[in-house]
Amino acid sequence: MKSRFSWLAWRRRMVNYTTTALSLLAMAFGLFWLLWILWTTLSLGVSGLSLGLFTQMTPPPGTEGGLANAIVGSLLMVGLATLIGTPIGIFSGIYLAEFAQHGWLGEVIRFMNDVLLSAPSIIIGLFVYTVYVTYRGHFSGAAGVFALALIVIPVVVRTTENMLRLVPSSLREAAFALGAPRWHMILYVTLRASLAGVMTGLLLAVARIAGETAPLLFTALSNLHWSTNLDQPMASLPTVIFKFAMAPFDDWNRLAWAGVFLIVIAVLALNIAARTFFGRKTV
Amino acid sequence: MSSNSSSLPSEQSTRARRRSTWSDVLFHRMTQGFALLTLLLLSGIIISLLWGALPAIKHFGLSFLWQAEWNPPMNRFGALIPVYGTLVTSAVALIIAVPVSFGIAFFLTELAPGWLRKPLGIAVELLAGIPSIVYGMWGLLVFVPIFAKYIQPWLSQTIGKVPVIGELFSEPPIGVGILSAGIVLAIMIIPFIASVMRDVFEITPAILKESSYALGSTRWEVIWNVVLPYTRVGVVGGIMLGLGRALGETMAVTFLIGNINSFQGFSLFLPGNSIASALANEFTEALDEIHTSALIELGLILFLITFIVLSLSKLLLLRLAKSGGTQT
Amino acid sequence: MQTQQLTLTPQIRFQDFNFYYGAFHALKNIQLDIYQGLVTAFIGPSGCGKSTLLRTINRMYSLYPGQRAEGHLFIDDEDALASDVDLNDLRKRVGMVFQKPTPFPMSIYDNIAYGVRLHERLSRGEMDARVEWALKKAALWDEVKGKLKQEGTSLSGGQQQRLCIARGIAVRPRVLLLDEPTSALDPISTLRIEELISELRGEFTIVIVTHNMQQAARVSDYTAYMYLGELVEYNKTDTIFVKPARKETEDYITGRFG
Repeated sequence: MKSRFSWLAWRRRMVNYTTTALSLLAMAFGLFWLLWILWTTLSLGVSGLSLGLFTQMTPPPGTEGGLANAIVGSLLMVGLATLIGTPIGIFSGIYLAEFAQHGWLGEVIRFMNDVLLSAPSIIIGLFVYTVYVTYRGHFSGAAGVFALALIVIPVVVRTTENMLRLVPSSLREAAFALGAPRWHMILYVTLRASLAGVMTGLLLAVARIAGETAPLLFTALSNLHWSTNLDQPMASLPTVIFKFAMAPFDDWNRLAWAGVFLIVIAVLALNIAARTFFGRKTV
Repeated sequence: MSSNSSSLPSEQSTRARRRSTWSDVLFHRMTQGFALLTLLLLSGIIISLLWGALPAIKHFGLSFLWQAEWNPPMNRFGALIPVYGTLVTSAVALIIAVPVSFGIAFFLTELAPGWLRKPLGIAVELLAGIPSIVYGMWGLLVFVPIFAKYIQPWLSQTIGKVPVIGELFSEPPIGVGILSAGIVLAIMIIPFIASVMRDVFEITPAILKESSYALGSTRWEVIWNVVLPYTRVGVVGGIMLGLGRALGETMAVTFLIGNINSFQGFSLFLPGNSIASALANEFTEALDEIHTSALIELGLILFLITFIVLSLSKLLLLRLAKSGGTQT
Repeated sequence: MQTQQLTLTPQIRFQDFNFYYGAFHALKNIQLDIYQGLVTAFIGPSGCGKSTLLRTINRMYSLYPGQRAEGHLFIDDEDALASDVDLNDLRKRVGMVFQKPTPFPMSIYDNIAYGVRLHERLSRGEMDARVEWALKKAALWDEVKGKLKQEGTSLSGGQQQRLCIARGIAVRPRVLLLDEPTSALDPISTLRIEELISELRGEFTIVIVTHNMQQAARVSDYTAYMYLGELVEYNKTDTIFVKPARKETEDYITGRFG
């Protein structure tokens, strides 16, 4: 009986070997690009690093320069967007998790939040352009902050709600049993219990907006000069990289690689920090 | 369980109770206010897009959707070319990314030795965190020259000779174009799809897999006949997630697609345009109101496409949650 | 159970058998012969190694790195631990049913046919006959014959477990391993599974792990009492329950310990 069906066993074994080999190949394929991209970024980025990168302004083609205005612009806009987006996101998340578990309003907000979470970031830029930039009449750092905050908010809302829901209801009941008012229970018991998770989500959100380019194109635009005035166009690393990488000038390309290197390092550091902060994945 | 709120106040003084009720109501309203603000901003996006697109909608009507001409100096606009570019680049990306992601997830859950699973899993997730502009710049400056010099001629020599399909690989190798944009998009969404697939493969109960092994299944038969059907809804959800990202991706595509607004043939080697890259390139330079409005209408179309993809994947994930609940 | 006409042929033989989870020595120097066509029960307190011992018979542990076996395990006089053993073929000969019902995400018919298709190429009619045979053997045919196209998960817990037994016997194994097969079931479903075990006795060699001593007494011919990874006593079930040779066994059986 064994020999009668041995060709079937042989075929099954061959299929298994082939798919195993293909799977290995897929993994190698995935890693190949990661290593190639990282290697390019590292080798070209490191050679572009210098002190001038952090002290000099973005140059016109053919002259020496750095990325100081873009670095500061990025830090400023990402920082402000996080400061504005975080409380809005956390309180909205609290509302969804603690006050609106059921009911139509909670469902509507939850759904709209998911829509925003998955909306292409360039759409966010379009929105800020039509409501803010056209109203002010010119591009500005504030508009960039507005756009980035709109990307932070849905991420924070989602993480906060998810993390609060992980808190066991026994913990809530224990706090109520001590006579704690609801707001006290939420802020000092449940939110504290899920703080690590919320922080992780926040760090991942910051990592995401640090590399966002599309929403800044029609909002903050860019600026060749030093400017910390939020009512004026403001430079940022991603928009400068975009402009410098597309241009046919070698020195601009070199600066773009240095900028890419800085962003990749920052984003990877934030990702790793988020992971060590709190062992599990969120978002 | 819910009796605590009614039984507790008797132990508190009336004043303290009133104060805590007030603070509770206040807190409730405050969080609700923020939640409503979120809702307002989000609804604002849709309304403002509609508002901005209104002049173009009025001017071109429904024919905007199938007009192929995009001619800013003449103020004649149609969405066909960018919509075509968006859909085709995403399709190319999915065709490459789905099998590769499946292979990676298979490797990470069933084949990799224990000590390799975690670092490789983290590497895949980190790849998902790299900003798209990095993929775009690397694609344009590093990938495209190699692609045009070695891979495109090879493709024309091989698949290009096959009838019908060969048409897709027929034009001169210039590097930038729909195919290279699709490939870089694929590299970008592989980590997203692979990590979702790995996560859902991992929720498959060990005992279910053991049951299949106990009948004498090979690893491949376990993953293909048991794990994949068990997780099919989650897998499709993950693919939808990747598709959503590919459709809306701006930077990686803008660098690579060539930004040509006319249709020259079905070859994937030809340059084209996508909605997101048309916006990125033209929006700040649009002078006429009708040009701006047409671009915003393009944005609205993109928003609707991703909205449909999201809704479908949400429906699927909802079904997964339901069937997962009855499984135990 | 009473009939003892069957000649005692050892089918599964453990000799100097040791098992490790990494550094942990889980099974110590097991010597055990399991007889063909009979029902053998493994009993003992939680963590004694009875499930571990059961899972070595179809080499389920090979799925997990860090778990390894030493010594000898012969099944039908073949060395089951040898590195060149075809695990898929071994597992065709040794079926297994788990603590919880594990219907695959497919129809009732396909659940049964799944294992058969792995090992044999049958015509449509032969497959239908095989599915019917297995479902009848598992005393499930009358309940499901009208709804073979329905999902396996649509059945009740007890039915699902009988479906899994049917799936196990459909590939016509020589040995059937049952790992606490009734631990997730209600008393009535449990009773039906026990009746089923008695009916399958003789045709298959059945090894059952149970933490329910009455169940062991009801369904098995031979019983092995294990404690802390050692085989304390192994004998006819009647002897073990009526007149155990070892004091430890008696303490466990009578409920003074465990």
